Amino acid sequence: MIKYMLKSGIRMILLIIAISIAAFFIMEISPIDPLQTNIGQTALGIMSQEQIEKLQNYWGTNENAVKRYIEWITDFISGDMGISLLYRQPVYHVITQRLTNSIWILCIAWLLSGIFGVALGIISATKEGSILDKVIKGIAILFSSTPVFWFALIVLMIFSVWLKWFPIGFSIPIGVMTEDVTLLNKIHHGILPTFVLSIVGMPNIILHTREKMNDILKSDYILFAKALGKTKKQIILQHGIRNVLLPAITLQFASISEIVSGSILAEQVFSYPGLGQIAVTAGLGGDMPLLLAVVVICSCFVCGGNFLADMIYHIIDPRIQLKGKNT
Amino acid sequence: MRKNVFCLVCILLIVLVGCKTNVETKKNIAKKDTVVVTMPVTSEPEYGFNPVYGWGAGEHTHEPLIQSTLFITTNDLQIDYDLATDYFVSEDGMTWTVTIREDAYFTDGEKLTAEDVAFTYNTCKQNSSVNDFTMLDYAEAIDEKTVVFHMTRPFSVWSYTMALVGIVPEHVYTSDYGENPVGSGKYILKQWDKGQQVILEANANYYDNAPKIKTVIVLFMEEEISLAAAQSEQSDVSYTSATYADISVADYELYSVISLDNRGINLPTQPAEQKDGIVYGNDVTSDIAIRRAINIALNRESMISNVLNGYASPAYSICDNTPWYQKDSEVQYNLEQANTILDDAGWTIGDDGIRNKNDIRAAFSILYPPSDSIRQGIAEEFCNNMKQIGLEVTPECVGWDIAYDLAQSQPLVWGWGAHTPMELYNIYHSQNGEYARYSPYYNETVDSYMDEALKSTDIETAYTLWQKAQWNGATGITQKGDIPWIWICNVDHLYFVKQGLIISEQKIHPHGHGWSLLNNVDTWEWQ
Amino acid sequence: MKKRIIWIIFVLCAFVIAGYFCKEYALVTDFTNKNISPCIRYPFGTDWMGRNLFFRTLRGISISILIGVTSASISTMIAILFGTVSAFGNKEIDTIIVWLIDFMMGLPHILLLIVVSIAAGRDIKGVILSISLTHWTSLARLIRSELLQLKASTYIQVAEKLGKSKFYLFQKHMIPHILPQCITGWILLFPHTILHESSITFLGFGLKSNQPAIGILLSESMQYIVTGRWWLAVFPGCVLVFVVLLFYDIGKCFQKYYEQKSGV
Repeated sequence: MIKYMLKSGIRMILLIIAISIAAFFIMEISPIDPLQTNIGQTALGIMSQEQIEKLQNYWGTNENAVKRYIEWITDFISGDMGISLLYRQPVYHVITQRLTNSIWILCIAWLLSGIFGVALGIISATKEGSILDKVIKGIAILFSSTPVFWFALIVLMIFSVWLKWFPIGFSIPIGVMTEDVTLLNKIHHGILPTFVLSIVGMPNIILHTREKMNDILKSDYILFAKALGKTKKQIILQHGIRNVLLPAITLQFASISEIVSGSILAEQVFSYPGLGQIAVTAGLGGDMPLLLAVVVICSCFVCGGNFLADMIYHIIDPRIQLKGKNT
Repeated sequence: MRKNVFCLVCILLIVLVGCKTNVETKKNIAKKDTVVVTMPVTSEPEYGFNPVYGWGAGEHTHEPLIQSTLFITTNDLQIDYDLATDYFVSEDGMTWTVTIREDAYFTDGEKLTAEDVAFTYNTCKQNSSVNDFTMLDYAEAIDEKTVVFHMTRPFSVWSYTMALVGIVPEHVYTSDYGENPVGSGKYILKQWDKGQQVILEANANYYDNAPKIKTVIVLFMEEEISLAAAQSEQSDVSYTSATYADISVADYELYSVISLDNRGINLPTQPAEQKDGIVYGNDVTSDIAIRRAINIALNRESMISNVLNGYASPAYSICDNTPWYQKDSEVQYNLEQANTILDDAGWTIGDDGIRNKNDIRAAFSILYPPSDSIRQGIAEEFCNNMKQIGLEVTPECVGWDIAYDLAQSQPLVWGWGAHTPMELYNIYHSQNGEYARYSPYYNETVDSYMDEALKSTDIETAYTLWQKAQWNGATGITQKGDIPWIWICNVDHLYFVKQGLIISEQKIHPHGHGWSLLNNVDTWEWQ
Repeated sequence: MKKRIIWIIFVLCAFVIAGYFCKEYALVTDFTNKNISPCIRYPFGTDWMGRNLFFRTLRGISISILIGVTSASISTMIAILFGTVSAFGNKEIDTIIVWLIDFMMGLPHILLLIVVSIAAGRDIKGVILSISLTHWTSLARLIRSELLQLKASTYIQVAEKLGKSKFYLFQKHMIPHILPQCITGWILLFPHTILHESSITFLGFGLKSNQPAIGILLSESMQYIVTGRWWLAVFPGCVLVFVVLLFYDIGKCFQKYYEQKSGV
């Protein structure tokens, strides 16, 4: 068990390092000149040629890539994530700030989408063919076909602009000192993004759970249980849920990637200062150190999630070890 | 299951109601001497409130508020004193001596001395990002209240630079100064929630009149969110643009400020020629007849009413309304004359309505940057305009990463407008005896006037020289001259302002929506 | 079932062809008719430059479909290539490819798209490239495991013992078996590619605003939604959702069709 854990752990770390290398060099071949993208056109207009050259050095457009990567990764491992070019602050500083805003929204949305997704999937499967099933399935398909940002936009429109129930953006109320910000305020600001993200994660889980549950309900042992005279409720509670939970957990961990993706779009719409927003800013502004840090952190989430799923699977069902190599 | 859901909904509702009342009460207390102002996301200084890294300067020039500057620009863009009490420029323009006032203190109680000034400028020189200090050799404090700037080349507009640089205290300056700035300005930075808001509080010990507005809250948001902030009454001043100007928001009035924020198009004056992978020049616009025809076939009035809902004024030069504006730049819209010019120059109309000359088709692209609906609209309307004189223009969207190179051969919709004549210099003056930086153009006479203007020690003489560079009666950059750039309009800066708030008279705004609105926030008032 | 598939394909083709003919009209600006709400002359209304949103939507959806088809096809090809190579190659190659799949899946899609499209230069090429490079993983995994299963099955092993060449086996037995999977996989990729195309464009890394793609229409509409010009967001969005649903449906039809054929 421990050996297996160690092995997947090392594998995970290697994966993350590989991702950082790939991200670094992909960014490197990018034709974007961070100087021209970041320094506004008017600012360039009143600048002398000497000054422009000076800035080109700052943005590192003239240096060797491999050398820079090695410098970057050694610093990164020793805990120094570098200085953000755009913010002129330690990346660590920028990231932790944004991460604290994002993390609880991500977690809650992730849990909610998991719980409701599985519940709705099971309900839908047990009532297969009924109107309820069709409605749930229909909504799930509809939402999986809807662009996240568009849905977020519509939600913002309805709840913030028309009904004025929620603020139109940000993570804290306007003009309130940090020490006066209550937990309630934060919740108030987080509800819409969390809501959108939960919805985003749900359809996939509903559809999968529904399918799995259907398979289970059609299996021989359920037939046997029926023959023994168990009621439908008993069958579902005793056999169905137990069997559907395992694939649900894997799926749940795999959906981390989707939720993080969704958060990048949703934060943009709700002007919520989280990790996703910073990724877009860094990407559009060509701020390499910052974007790389975001990439590495996100891949830590995803790989870490997969790793955990693997472990949980293992603990719940040790038989997997035999098959483990194929999946 | 159902019960649980019901409970959850109840809890949510309670939370909601709680929050709502919470927000409401806060709003009622905080009025009278507080303003909430929205600004574009790009106005947030990512690097902090540090003049060394360009706070106050750059793309959008404004007063640094937290720090004070040696000079300020007045409402009509002349130079006036702030920290400085007097200045003197040497005969050769190579040294500037400035004396400063003695009653200015930093908010930590220390006195602001010439040492701090020298320190600020020398640090700027080493680290500066968007503000150009290459003409400064070094600054030195010769006594408590006198500072001398030694220049590397004569630079008559140095006082405009000095109007941008906030003075930082030498004794507390560290690398994270941008986050915890200490200055001698009208306001103190109280809180900064990155990506969201900045809270400024009045400096009780400010050396000039005490600010009437005690708290200024600045929110950084996208344009549409800014409008929504006004609609939901969460802001007092919401920046907006012409695209939203036809919307009325209850209890808010539209406030418009004229600006230097111009939109113009470059027309390369040389035939196309490839060099280092970049094409310089354009075979169509290199004909002066084409450029002159475009300038008068462009219907500025209708473009302004169509694209900008009327919230702009026609522009004929890069520097309308400034002391260095050349009045001869102005032209009249005249379609017939434009057609005559082209006919006379040998551009004949082909079967498809597009002109030709020596097998060159009168066609080119007009470029505009992404996510700027106004520039896109200008480009589109420009094409519609040009069709009428038989020019085929195609709009094309290009990112800033390649726009500069492409603009060497294709016209681009630019936006300029800084509070300094240096802009004129960098657009029209040739580089190293070759072409100007942004669009191929070279005129020796224009160059020499501008060189002279920079060397001049008297600001009034300099203004005249800048004007002569544009048109001296024989040559220049106006319609009668080479006309290498066409100017279209100066965009008004628009704000939704809550009724009861009186915003003091604004100086002509520079390019970009942002902090310059707050230049005189200390004198605003609630009624 | 067959009829339904044909119908859907017909509708999709109609979109593409209509979009082709709208090319010119989608770009015409008419500032005298701006911001008109939907009416008979302008079924979807007009935008702030007086462009006819109906034509723009048609054009946009056809661009989206074309981008979707191209990148889904490239993705599927990559998936087939890697899937088969992984299943038939030696152990090292298999390990590398499995690792590569994990690697591609180790980063949230949107972030990966952002990174790749930055490198590819933020235009139509970049969008197609980034989407094709990121969407092949799950299909490749599926093909690989199908083939592995097949390889282990008795009839293939018998055939192998009988001296049939690997190529023969592949052509005669494997291809017919995985082809339906590939086709369904290919079709079910469209919804993803189209949604991701519009998302990435919305964030500013995708197409440019002179190409009336759906992502562009929607991000433009974002500016006007607060002003009550709902039609700008609603119509293109609904058409997009509709087309995505069509693709989804056609994929499901295929799946059922093959299941029925092979399931007996």
